[in-house]
Amino acid sequence: MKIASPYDGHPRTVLRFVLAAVLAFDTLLAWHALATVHPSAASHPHAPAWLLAFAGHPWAAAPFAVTALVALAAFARRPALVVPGWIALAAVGWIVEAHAAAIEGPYRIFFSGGAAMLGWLVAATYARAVGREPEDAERFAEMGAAAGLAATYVNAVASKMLAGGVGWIDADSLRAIVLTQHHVNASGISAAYAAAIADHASLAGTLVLLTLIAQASALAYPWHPAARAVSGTLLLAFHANTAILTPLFFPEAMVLLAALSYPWPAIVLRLRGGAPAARGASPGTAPARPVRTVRAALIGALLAGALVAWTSPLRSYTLVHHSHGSDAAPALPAALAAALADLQPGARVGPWQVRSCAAAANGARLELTSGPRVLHVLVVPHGSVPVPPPATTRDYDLLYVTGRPDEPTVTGDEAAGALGLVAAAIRERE
Amino acid sequence: MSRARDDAWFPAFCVLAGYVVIAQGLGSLYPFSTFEMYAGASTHSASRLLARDAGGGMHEIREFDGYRCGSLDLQPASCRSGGEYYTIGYVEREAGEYLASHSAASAVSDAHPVDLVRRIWRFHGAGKPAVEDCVVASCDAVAR
Repeated sequence: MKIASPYDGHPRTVLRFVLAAVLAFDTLLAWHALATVHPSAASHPHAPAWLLAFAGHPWAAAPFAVTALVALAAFARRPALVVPGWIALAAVGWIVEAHAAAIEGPYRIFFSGGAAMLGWLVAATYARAVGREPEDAERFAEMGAAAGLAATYVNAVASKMLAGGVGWIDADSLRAIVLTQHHVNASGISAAYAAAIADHASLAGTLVLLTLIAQASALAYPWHPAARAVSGTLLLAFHANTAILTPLFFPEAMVLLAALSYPWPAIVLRLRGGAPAARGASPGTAPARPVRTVRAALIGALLAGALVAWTSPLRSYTLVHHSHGSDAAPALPAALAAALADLQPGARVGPWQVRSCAAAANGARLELTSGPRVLHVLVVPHGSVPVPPPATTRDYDLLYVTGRPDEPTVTGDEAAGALGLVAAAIRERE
Repeated sequence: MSRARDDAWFPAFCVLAGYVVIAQGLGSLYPFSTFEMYAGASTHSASRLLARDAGGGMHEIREFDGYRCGSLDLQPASCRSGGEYYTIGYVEREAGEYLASHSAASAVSDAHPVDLVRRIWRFHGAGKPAVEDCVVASCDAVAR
């Protein structure tokens, strides 16, 4: 089997920089998003307290962001440098998952860059393991990044087919998505376009079909320059269309598609009047190590990953994302429910009123309000968090997070006072 | 030194197949995701929260600030009299968060009456959807 790329005959330096820049952008965006959210009723009900503790605390998450940025800088400096890339991917992943736990699930915009980086690193690691030189290994890495990015679209179309089968080719799905998100007072061409889709099922149905075709075309994306150009263009058109009709904008995916889909080095050379480079892959020198052994290791890693994915408790954790908002809240453990009997919604605790009391983070989360001020209190079993808790009872540690930055400030003293009152109420029931 | 057989396809194939298989099993755990947004969106209705001014003009709720509402249940049972309706979780959450963080504790001098309305579209065949407006709360708010 042969594989070819629009970058064949040219270095992949620009792609490496683009990938690092996309991940750096994601790092800063995810870090900022994490700093501005707080645990609430929308948080993952089974998220561990130590993961939720990062929400709303930018300095707690800062070491991960700095690690990611430093590692990305190192990754960008030299070809096929895989260790910094893996470190950066892990650090970004930590921030993204902490943010996802605090709200109703992950922002998918972060995953395009992550998938492309994963593909780059897997392929580069493979190439280095079989003894390819760095420049040659980066050719493998580019193919891997294209495959990782393509996999996100293959998954998108697979999910639609698995969830709704051909029933997903239903104009009403797109009409609903547009009507729930297009600005009600939009004017001009975009408003007319959205209205046409809402009012004409045949137009909406055609767009749904084109969406599925564009996403399915990603199966061919990694293998040939022509396939990349065609599929990449279809996918860019899909993203542009989505951005016109809804607030859903995936800049990282669009940047990566634009970078990976077209023969930019050849285009630049032609614009500068230079001679085009010879086409075709440069297979490089013979590997120094047995390819068969490395292939077996890669397949083994893949099978191990699949086994973990399909059988581990992680699966039940991720399945709750985006599906717990309107469902009945999970029950509190019996002992904790008894301890919180005096802290149910509506109860007063000094100047505070309990707005909600729900299971979260292997304990409970209380939302207290006093006028416009909001204070979230986490009640978790002793030793659940890696920091000294500001208040404790016999069986529980109490932590607090204040409201969002745009809400009136709750001072540390006020929060400590509220925690003391909550702790006293719990102690009476313990 | 001999020329190598070009096996760049192999890790690329493993990445593509592995990502799909692992993500379909795992769900969304960075950097894996099934990108299942809207995959289950097979529906025949749509709904969102809007603000209606005294003249009947419809606005995004973010076009007002300093909401003072009597009581606030964004998905009251009364709006379901015509049947269930489709909502998007994060759109609902953001609307709720906006209202919670842009409420006024006391009366604001330049506030005007505004109804919070749940607009529901119901699709019946190929033509225009039927539109229902269900009042969720009567408020005072300030135009931004």
